Amino acid sequence: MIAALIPLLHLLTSALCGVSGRMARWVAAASWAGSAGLIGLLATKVVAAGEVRYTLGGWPNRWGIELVADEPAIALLALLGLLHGCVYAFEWAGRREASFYVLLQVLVGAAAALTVSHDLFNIYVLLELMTLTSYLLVGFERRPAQLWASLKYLLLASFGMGLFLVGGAVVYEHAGTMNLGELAAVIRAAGDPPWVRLAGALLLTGVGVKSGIFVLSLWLPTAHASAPLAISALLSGVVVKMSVLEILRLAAIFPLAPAIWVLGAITGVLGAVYALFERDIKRMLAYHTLSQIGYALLALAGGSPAAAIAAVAYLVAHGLFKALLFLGTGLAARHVGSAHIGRLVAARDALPRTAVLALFVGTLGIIGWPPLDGFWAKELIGACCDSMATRVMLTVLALGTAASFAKLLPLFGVHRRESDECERGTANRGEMVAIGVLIAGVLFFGWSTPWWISGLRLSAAKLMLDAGRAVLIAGAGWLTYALLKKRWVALPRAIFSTEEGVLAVLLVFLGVWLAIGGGA
Amino acid sequence: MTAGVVTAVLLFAIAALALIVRRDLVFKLVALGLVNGSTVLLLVSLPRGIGSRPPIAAGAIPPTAADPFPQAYVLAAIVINFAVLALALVFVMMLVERYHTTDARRLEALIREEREAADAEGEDA
Amino acid sequence: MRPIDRLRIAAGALASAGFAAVLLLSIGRGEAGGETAEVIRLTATGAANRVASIVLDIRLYDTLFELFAFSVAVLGVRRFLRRTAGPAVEESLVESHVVRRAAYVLLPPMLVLGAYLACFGHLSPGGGFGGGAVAATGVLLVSVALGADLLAQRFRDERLERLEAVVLVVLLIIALIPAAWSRPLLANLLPPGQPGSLLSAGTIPIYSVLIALKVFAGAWAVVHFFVRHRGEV
Repeated sequence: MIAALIPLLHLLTSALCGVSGRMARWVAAASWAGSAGLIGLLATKVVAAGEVRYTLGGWPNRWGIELVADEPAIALLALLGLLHGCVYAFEWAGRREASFYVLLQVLVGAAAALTVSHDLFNIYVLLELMTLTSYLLVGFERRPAQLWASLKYLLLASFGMGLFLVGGAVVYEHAGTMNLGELAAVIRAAGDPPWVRLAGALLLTGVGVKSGIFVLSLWLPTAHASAPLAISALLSGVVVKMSVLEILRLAAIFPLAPAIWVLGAITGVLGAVYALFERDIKRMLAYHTLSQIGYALLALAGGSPAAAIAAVAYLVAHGLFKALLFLGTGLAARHVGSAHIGRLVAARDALPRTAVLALFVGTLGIIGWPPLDGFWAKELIGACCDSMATRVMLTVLALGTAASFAKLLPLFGVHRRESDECERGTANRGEMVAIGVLIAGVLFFGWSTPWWISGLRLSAAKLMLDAGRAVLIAGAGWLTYALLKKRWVALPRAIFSTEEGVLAVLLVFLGVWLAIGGGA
Repeated sequence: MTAGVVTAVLLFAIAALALIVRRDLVFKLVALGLVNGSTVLLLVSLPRGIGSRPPIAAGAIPPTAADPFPQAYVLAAIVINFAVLALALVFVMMLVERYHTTDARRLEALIREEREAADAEGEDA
Repeated sequence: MRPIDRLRIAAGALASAGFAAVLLLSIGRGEAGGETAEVIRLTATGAANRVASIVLDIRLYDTLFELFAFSVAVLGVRRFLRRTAGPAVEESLVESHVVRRAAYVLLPPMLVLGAYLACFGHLSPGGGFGGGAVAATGVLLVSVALGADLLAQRFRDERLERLEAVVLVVLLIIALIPAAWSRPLLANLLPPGQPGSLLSAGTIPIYSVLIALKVFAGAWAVVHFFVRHRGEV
């Protein structure tokens, strides 16, 4: 029941924020505290029982809406709570407008409801609600670039959701239910009729548009880069993750593994390549999110439940360090006036210490430097993946990550020349709190992850070996970047318009359908 | 396969094509509306949901009555589609007011020019 | 850019055609099982309109979120168009006297019809969303035919906004109340009554009316901003 209370609480308080005008911040903060408590309660129950189920109104599962809080759900819910709090801390001083808090509450409420939702139509409604709220939040400051980026986002996301709903219609036609558990039973009993592949392809493509799969999420780089700071952090850290969680749930029911592997590989590689050659840091971070989602999808394609949990652990780790990086970049960019790496390096003495620290820890986290959370998450994935192809792919992606982030290294140089003209910028208290919490998360979260997968044994020797390997990969990445710096490539950007986006969605649908054996 | 299903699928495909091919923003919104409308049509004309009479009666309802569930889904879908179209229209209005064009490609070019100008200015400063 | 455009059109046509083909070939036809009887039994919550009992009882959770989607849309329209929209355009779009007079005459019946649909939503087709939409269409008709000026004088934005938020709060509280009596959340606690009479189906008609209020207020705001500040290319 608690699982249902959390989103409903958020909805209630968002309406209250709407009425409370100037006091909206405080209502929102109180709501965050309340929901954090509820999340903690739910977590204890899930840890004790493994899984908590609840059907609203007491109706039978087949017709009513069922909520299932399992390990992935509670992990993402915890991440959501944390990032939610960080966003509030970050924006506390700056934003007083009630509608900001109303929208945020609804977004977080929808995301919280998504983590536990086990009903296809409920998922549809929640994904659309998340699209609408994040659309308004991206364009919140009304700058034309933001408006345009989020408009493209809305068009593509709505089209994707249209596909999703068609998939839902196909499912209802044949299975008579929208409940995921019942659906799984029906599919198991049905053998291999063509509608299963059709529905699987439709649903996957629909959700994929929102989840950061490269070809489908062409809107992501511009939207995340143009959005206000804290919103980018929340979008990258949470909204995208929720859609990946839905992919996870779909993968448990439909035979989607080959398609997920291919999509993950393509996303990972293309995202890394684009990130490598991008000089605007916010945009680079956005491309990078695509690449990391590819990483998680590759892990997911492994198929076993342990692989799914490893993928979720990676998503949580990514949420932490990506949010940290976005906030740090945002702070730095605010003092300098642009997020271009050249200008940031030139002005490195003037950057607030908080921002530099955030970027430093975030970079280490994302390239998997031991013993931060990125390293641990990659360990988990490595332990669950058996296929050689996947391992190679993952190593290549790790290399690409290290190479892209090598750009940031000059920011961290220790130098003694403190010139008198440039004053160091400072961050306000809220921002420091937010970044501090995220840094703590990145540093310490990883240590808890091996306990998530029961039966996982990581010997100390293996850990040392992998730690060494991670450092080596980081070094190799930096070397690659140093070599590539001379040969700069300007990659085509023209593929990010809406038309190509819709075309890409249709083509990916056909590709996915064929990949899971459609025409057979 | 009912006529409704076939029409819905064809409409969806045509509307998707319109989204891809046409450059006018308002036309794109209309096409998006058509995409959503065709999904609604699909839900309503599913063979499983079709029945001999509507599922509304105070007394007993025969088992051949229509299935009320797809109709409930349709209700939610229509409301959400309305919300999407309204919000998209708002942003289109704001962009058009500023740039005086509804052509998507021109808008993209104009906005990119602005961004590059701002970047270049930042570089020199 | 012509060859690229041609390529895009060709690729788009191919992709759409492929999509339609895949769907039509694989969509199949489900077996109409014997579950219809169970559905009928299940939805007998006292509401004669079984769709209402699904929307406002069995799947109330979905309806709440969908209502919030609507509210977010209204919020977006309000917030973004309040300040940046073009100047208020007061003239009407219609010249014919017949249409204008008819619009003026039609407004009250449409409002009443909307209220009827909302209140009787559990007994005949209709419901909160439909009722609110019909009433708002009446407003739209008058705004377009007679100029936005006429109703704009009655349109107090802050009050409507407050009304909408209060309605949402009340709705959510009613939905959450069963938890206090350790019943499942969102359950329908009021007595089902005699199916077919006005006061039946528990909380369903209450939700219907509240939703209709909310949808009417929101859609009025949306119509107001869109018609009044329509701007030009």
